[in-house]
Amino acid sequence: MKLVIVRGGGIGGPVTLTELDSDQLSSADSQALAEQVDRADLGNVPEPATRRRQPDELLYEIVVHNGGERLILRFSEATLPDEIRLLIQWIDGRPERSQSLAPR
Amino acid sequence: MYQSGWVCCQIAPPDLLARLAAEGDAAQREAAIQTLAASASLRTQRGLLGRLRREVGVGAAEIAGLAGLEPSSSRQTVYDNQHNGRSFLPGVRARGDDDAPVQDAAVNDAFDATWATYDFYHAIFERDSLDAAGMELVSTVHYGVDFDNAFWNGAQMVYGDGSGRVFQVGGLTRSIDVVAHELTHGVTDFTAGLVYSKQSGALNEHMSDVFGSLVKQHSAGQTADKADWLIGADTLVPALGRALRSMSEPGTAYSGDRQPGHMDDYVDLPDDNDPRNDNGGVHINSGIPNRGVLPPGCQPGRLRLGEGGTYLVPGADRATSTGHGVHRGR
Repeated sequence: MKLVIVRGGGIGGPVTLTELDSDQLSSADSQALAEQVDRADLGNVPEPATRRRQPDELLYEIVVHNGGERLILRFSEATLPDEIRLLIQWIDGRPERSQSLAPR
Repeated sequence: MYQSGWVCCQIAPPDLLARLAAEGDAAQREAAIQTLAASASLRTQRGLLGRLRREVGVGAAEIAGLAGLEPSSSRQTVYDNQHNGRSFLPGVRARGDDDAPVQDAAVNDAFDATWATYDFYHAIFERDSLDAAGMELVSTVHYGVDFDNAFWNGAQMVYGDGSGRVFQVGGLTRSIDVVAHELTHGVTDFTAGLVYSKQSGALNEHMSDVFGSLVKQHSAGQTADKADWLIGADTLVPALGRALRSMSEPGTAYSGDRQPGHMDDYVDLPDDNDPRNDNGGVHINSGIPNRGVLPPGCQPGRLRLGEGGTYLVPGADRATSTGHGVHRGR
């Protein structure tokens, strides 16, 4: 499983790309990642309600590559579900993750 | 996790309550207003009261009167989110109007920069806070975990610490122009109401950059010719760049900066929720009007904005100014 997080918008500045591949993790950490993903229930996220934009809020794209399948989700800071926020924080804390500037 | 004190709709976040007050049927509107009025955290929702006044014509006194509460007389309050994120806004009260500086540098930085912004708008434009009616300025620091951003959520300012990988830790609250930039989004909300998308969004961003820089200059006692015209200088980690934007030299602030400086180079991006496309390029195309603030031969102490009016800046002779105020756009 590979997760890719793109963060843009915000107050401006670089668009960043954070990637974590379970192949880079120990079996225990790979299992922990799978549990985080399950908890986030990415396949059943409801469509965010239409809402007024918040200037300079971060915009997120989360892409999950699993087997031959790909799931793409997009959120703003205001609509990002807490479970997915926790997943992102977990990924950000992993030394095995890579971070770069996203290509435009 | 939600703040205690709301007597009904206790799981309803403030933003939802504001939408119900603005867009709901009569029963929903009354319930939402009653809930906001009865909240023990009414002071912290004062920013919402400004929105309610603008969107539904309900004043702060009317709302406070519904629950027998005294309207807040605070000018500003800084809160600590304690890294709990969106559901814990504004957080724990950290510093108010008459409080001495605290141990937390982020709290003090946000407090001081907010005061500087308030003072600028009041001294130069005779504007009493963001809504011109003494609205309490609410800031939250330590939002989220290693959060690389600052934003205006429609009711208050929110500042992350920065991760040290993109933004320097503490960098966002240390930057007076970043703080003034965010507060100016509030001013725009209460005035021109520029839609945060594509060209109007770029103008919205431009206004925040202009007044962010002016507040920095006013605070430093600078004239225009001495200013660096950088937004968010020294907020990014050095390896990424020197600033978030350069108003005088769009496209030179950081690695990958693609801001144009002329309409001929307008970057036409879709507004499609793709984070790469920045709501249709609002932070990208703001470089065009930003560059227009500084034409060649700009007189020290005075700005001219393209074909529009002039902005008054410190050092200018107010008696000879051709005018001042908030730029109006579509």
